[in-house]
Amino acid sequence: MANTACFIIVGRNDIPIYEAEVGSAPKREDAAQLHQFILHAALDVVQDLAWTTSAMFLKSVDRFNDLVVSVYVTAGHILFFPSPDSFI
Amino acid sequence: MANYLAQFQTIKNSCDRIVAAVEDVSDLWPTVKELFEQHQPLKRAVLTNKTRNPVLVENLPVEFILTTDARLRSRFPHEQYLYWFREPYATIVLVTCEDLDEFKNILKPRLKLIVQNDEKEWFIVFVSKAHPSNDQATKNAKKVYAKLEVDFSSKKRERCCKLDIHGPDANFWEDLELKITECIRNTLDRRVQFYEDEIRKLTEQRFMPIWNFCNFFILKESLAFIFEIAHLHEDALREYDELELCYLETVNMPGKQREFGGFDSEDDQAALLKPGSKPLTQMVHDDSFREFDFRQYLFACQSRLLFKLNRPFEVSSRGYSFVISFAKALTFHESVLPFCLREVWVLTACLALLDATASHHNDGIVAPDIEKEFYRLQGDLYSLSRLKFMRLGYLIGYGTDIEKSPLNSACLSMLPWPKPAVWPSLPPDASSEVLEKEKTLLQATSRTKHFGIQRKPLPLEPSVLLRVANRRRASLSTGNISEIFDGRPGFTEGSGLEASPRTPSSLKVQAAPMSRTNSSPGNFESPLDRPMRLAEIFVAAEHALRLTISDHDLLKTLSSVQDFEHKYLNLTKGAAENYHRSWWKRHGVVLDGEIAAVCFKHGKYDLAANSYEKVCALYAGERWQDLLAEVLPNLAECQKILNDQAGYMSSCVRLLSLDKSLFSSKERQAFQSEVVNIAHSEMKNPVPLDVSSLITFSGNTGPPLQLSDGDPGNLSVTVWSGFPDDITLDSLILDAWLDLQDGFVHGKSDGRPTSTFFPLVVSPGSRAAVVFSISIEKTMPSGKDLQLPESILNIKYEIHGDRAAGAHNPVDAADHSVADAERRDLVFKSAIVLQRPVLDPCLTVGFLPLPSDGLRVGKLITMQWRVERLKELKGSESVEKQHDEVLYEVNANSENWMIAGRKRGYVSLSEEQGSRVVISILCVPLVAGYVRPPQLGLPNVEEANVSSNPPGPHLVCVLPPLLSSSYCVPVK
Repeated sequence: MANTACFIIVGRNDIPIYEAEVGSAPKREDAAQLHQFILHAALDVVQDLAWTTSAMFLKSVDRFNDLVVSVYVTAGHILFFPSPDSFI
Repeated sequence: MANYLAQFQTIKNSCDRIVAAVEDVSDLWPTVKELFEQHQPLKRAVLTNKTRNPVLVENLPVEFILTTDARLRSRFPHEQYLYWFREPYATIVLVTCEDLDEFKNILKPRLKLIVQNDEKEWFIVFVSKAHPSNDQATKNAKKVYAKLEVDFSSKKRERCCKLDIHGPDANFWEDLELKITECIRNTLDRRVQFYEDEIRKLTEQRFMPIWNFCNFFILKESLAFIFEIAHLHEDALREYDELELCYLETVNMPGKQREFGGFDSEDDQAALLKPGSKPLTQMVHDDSFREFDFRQYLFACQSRLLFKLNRPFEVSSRGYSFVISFAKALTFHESVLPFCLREVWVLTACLALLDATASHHNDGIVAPDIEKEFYRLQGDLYSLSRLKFMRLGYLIGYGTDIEKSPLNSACLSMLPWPKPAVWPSLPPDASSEVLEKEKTLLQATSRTKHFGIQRKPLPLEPSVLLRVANRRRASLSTGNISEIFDGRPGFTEGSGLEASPRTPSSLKVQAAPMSRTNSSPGNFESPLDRPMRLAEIFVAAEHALRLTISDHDLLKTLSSVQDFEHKYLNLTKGAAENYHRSWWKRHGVVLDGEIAAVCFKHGKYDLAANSYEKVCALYAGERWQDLLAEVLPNLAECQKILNDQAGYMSSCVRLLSLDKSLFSSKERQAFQSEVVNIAHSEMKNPVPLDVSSLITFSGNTGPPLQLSDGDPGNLSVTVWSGFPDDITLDSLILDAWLDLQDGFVHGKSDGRPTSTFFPLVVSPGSRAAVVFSISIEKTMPSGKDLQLPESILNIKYEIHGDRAAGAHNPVDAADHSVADAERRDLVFKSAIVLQRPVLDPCLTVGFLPLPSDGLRVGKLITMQWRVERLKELKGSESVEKQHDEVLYEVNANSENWMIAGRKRGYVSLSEEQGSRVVISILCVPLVAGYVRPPQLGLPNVEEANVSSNPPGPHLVCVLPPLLSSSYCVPVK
């Protein structure tokens, strides 16, 4: 299955500081915006969850249809979003 | 089995509380019945739960039934075990007697007979009818009661209590409650034990071929019901949870093909909160139940108990998970179910859960985090129902009324289309509807974005509906499909989710022979030899949905665009409101944006602007520029329509400030022209506006620039423009002037520039200059009283606002205390030091040439100055203390230079004219590049008497250090 994924690093104050679209599947034109939209909304989930666990890697914190959002939360509260999805 | 189930359900439904039997030995019940019933329910009953722990149950209702009642008499013994929950939990023997002999000879043997049954939990209520004034009667009653106690009570257990009808009864009711409770507790323990044993036996046999789930269900549900009527809801819930696990295990057992269900009328309406919506006999199939009905039934029983436990939050939480997991099961059977039954079921399930949980929820009675989570779940339920509602609307042609926003696109474009075995066909008499639909489609014009923004609309379809619908029509050949896409070379399959492998092909094969009026839309007669047009697909879907949907209210919401929009707005508002309450601001604000879109469509621009502002503030605050770029033009459009010039201009400036790649240059030029138009349009009330991200001033960094006589006098000030096009700053910049340091005066009197470069036009890459004319002041004030040691270039600009980012912080020009503080002028300032020419040179300091191989970082060099006396310093004794010694001082920037030796000291210099001395210091350059060399100063000599060569500040070139071989990596 070919995947495209969006990888975003979010800094303090929830500001995106790095973004990359990776994957071998032909890109949908709106994929970047779609990913950004989903990842931005997932910050709500992450902010709730980050305080309830000591784990740094939060797997599948949010789902949006077939898109899965996973997060790596660093000690300085910088979040990394790898977002594998299953565009076939 | 069906008979048993019917009987079981009837009996269960007729029984809602614990029963206590009354053995009315002395015909007392008519007298005391009312009194007994007045003291119901039992206020504090301590019962034992399944884990054998005491549980305090408050307000436990008990129904009293005479043992002679038909309901208790007509049962066969084997029924008692099957439906034990309806058997009495306590037997109250009511007696009265005032004669001891009568008691001994008649009453006692009778009572012994009554209570000899070991399985009964009993106690005796002795009713004394004796009036307190009748001493003899009272005494006799006491004697009989005492004898009764001796005969029937034991040390282990008190079995008697006495009710004085005419006397004080305070203790009696308390005593009665304790005794009833004790009986109930003991009976409950025994029955629970019995059921547990039976259930264990059946559980052990569950992999045997003879095993029957319905038997297991009756036992398990009976036990759950026993707990429920004893108000041990937690235990009852556990029984249902276990029952569910066991059921799912049987459902998922390989090798057994079971009927799923979902074909009864009104099955489209989720029944997950109505346990009695369908009789058990209608759910049963072979030795088990249909999954479609039974899982909903179980959930309904669980949620009923959760509501009794006052945990609506858990109903929401379990409900949401249930809807998701049940929708998966529906997907699996989608091809045999009525068209869009899954969508309709999910929608009605979410709405039912929302209704029920909201009415049971009271703010503030649970912990804040639970409450927050509750609202989050409500938001999720609203979102899910909103999504399904949009999907249904889209299928019948309301897609043009759904905003193509990132949210809607993200929701709908990733949600696979329904997968009926055969796509609904057009009914024969629908031509007028098709025409009407086509007309609507033609009339629907996609709204062009403000500023002429050209964007491909975000998709709402996971793949092209036209193709999917036609492909799923059994009669169409591939050739026909290709016809319809002629002239659509750019067509692609989209995300391809439609081809998700989730639907096994075996199901499709199986589905073909199944026919049901509302499940096979293919029954409609229609021109099957050609592909359907989009309008036909919509009309066909609408007809099929009318057959699927049994709820008239839901049908009404889909009956017209207005109704659709009304419901859509309600669902969106519900989701937004609940997300806000749960502090999920991003989810809430994004939905506010969707509400704004509807408001905009209906001309409620003020409401739309308010909501859009929230969305923009969120994205701008967190600097998610791509998302901001999508919504900010909408806000700007509202502001323009509302004639909110300030807001509009601010939005235009913000649009210009966004990353250049987000808009085409043409679009950016449109933003700019709007800004300029408004700036020139004489606004009634000039408004503060932050353009710091577009216009930035920057002076020289580092120490003030020093200019001396003969320098060209260039002071560069960079004005950086982020505008895509030339911008004339006359509407933005008021003024520029130079405040001169002491010793200099303006050539013109007002300090204004000599040239008339204003209005200044700034275009990317352009340069401009402003020339000031200055001259030396004739009367120089004494050196110590300098008022202004350096000149300052001032640029005052009109645009106001707070700057959070940028290269230079503006300075407030106006006094803050001025009432009109909102209209503060901002001033850009840059300092410059002017040097007066040397008028009376006595000493000359010459910087000696540096070595020819240049300076290099880390390499020691000697820097030399030659000091020569040009003439005797006759009149300057006061300045030099010792005439033959000169004080020198070397100043160097310690970041650039390391100085070895003395930086300050005296050197001998004869007073004679022409005497000279060379001052040397060792120093090491620390950084490469053009840097200012160390400066030699003569602190005790007036500046006017020292001539320097070179005359002003100058730079030397320092080369980077040589590469050291020890740091080099050999190249192979």
